[in-house]
Amino acid sequence: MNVNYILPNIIKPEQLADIALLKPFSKEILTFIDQLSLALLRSPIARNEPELTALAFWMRKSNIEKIRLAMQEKIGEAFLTPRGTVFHIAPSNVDTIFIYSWFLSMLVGNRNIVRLSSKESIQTEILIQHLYELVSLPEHKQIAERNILVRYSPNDDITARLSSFCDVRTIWGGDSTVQQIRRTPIPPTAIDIAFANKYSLALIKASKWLDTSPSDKKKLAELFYNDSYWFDQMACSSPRLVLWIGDLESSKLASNDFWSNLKSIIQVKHKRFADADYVNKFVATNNLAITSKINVQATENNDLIRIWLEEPALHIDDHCGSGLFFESCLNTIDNLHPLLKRSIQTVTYAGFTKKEILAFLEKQPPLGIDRIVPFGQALYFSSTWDGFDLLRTFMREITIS
Amino acid sequence: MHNDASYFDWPVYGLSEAEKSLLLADNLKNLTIHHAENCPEYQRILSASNYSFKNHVEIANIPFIPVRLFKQHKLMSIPAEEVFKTLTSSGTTSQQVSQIILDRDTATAQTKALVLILQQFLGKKRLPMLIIDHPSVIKNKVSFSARGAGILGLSNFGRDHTYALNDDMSPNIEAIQTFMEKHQNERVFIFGFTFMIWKYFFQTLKDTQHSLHFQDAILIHSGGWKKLIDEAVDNTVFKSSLQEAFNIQSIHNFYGMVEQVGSIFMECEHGYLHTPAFADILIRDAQNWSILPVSSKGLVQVLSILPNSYPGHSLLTEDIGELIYVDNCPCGRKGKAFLIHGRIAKAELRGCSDTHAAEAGNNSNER
Repeated sequence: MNVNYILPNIIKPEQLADIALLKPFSKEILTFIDQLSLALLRSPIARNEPELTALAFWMRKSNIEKIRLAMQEKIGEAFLTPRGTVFHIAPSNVDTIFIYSWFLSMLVGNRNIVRLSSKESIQTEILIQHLYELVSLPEHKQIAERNILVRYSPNDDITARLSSFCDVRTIWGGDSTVQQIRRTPIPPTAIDIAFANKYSLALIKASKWLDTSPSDKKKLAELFYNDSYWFDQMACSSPRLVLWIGDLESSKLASNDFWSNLKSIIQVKHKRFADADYVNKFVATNNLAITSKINVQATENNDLIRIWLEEPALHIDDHCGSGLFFESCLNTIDNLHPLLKRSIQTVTYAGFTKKEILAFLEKQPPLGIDRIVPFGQALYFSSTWDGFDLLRTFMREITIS
Repeated sequence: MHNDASYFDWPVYGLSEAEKSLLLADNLKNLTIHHAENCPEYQRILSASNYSFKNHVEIANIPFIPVRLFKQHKLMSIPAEEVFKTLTSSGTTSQQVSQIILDRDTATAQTKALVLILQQFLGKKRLPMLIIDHPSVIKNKVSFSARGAGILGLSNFGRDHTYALNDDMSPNIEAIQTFMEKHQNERVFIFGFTFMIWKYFFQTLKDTQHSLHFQDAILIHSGGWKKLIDEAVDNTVFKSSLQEAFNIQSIHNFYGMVEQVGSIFMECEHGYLHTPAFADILIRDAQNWSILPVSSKGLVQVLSILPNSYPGHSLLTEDIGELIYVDNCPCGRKGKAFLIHGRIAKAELRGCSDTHAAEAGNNSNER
């Protein structure tokens, strides 16, 4: 039963509880995060990985200060204090999530145990290397003795051990992981924050698209590409269904034009998927053809598969990522309501104003949607995720009268 | 019946690829129309992609469906009352099994094709047959496992059928020895599934005092290599081991699948798999489905003119293959000669699902 400790290991998980908590946003925390940010921005290898660049920018001093101020404004006079030890179980599909989850918890002063996925990836290995170097420095001893990174093959005993003394357990990794980990108890005073399987979609106003200049179309297509292809469309925030808002005729026109713009981006930026991904998409397409009324639109090659749905639907179980897009059209944005459910996470939009989006939400409480962002921001991590204000959740309030 | 069965008169390995592809294209086009008219699911697949039937069709333009679809849907082009038999893939490594619906005609055609192909290797005379399996594998006559169907299909080529294994998969020494004594001076036919032969026959008997020394045996085997490759046993090792241990000189693997029973691809004396007259393969690039030339590895598409009761005449497998010869294999057989390099690497579970989940079952058939 091997637990592999990833950072220079100066403390056992069981001893964490004996270490004092740090104050939220204290200097040693801010310095550490800032130094990791600088190291990533300076590293030529990391600069090659767009996800790591995004992460490094998120960790910059100025952005962390923004996060702190927003938090301050939200809580006002309330007295909040770190909860204690947070056990993070990271997902394997988006390599940088473990840092976001861990650092938000670290920022407010918690001790942390982070379980990384056993799946190695370039991004994770680059991060680990920089983390290792930083926590080895004497000046970061405060961080080193409060944070433990582990990897272990699926093993309920180890999960149970690490769960037995945490104050918060954060479960990333979708429905089956959540169900499985929840069977392992945590102390009665502890809380679980679970991130379920989520599904995301894109909204485009058809008439607006047709009026867009060629250079802006190209930009939007590139932003959409980043939203959907960065993690092979496997990130829960990547759009899987594209809904055109408008009449059928302009929707079809806009759609063909949009995908031809995207095709040019794919040709330049995309390396090939694995053979198994192409086969899975082919199986999904054939399956859907049998069960629903669909039209498979011709594309240049299998890096992009477009499926027009006669009936707008999510088809969550038929979606396998890797550049597969369901498409349909709705006459007005209000027709989105029947499609919504709790598992809808991110809506990326183009051609709408923020005001229009707000009006849609105010008309009727939606049955799903955690965040609504313009094209290009689907994968931006925000400290409020899936409806949880993570900073707030990683703290507890002491009332004083 | 839309295809007359004149294809049974074609020479099994005597047609050049050019002649054959004309004959096949015509038959496959008729089959495509037949299945579109009689299998609603198949029709929906074709119309979803706006497939249009043209007068002149080449093999390359015959639509194909993924072999995995038979695990998810019961696809048939015949009325329910004409179902004669349902074949299922072995469900050993996957949660779902394929279901292949046969009517009498298709089952007969499959048997006939198999006979014509195997006669090329076994001759026309029935040989004494040693089956490397246990007798219970063919007990259920209604729903056959691929293993049972394979054994039953090949039993037609043998006489004095002897099962070499007991129900617990241990070797039935007595039966094997009786069989060998009885047929000392004759040519014998040994059949089994690759992995079974290796594990329950070769490995258990190679170092025992029961040294089996066949004088004149031909061994035909099929099934997945996956488990053997994991043990570093490839076709070459397999052949030389059995030659050394039991003096079996003539060993032929074949590539086939439950979704296209009958038109199997036999391995020749030079180690290449061959397309018979009734079937063909295309190697495709998964990125754009383009057809790859000789010596390029890609996904294997199998085409067969036998499947009439279910739309399985053109299937995209999940196997990686490579075309080696067209009409010019040193063994002299015409048509395509190819190699199979195993299955596509399993798609990584990158969905939000495997932080803790155990490895999912294998998503393809044992072949």
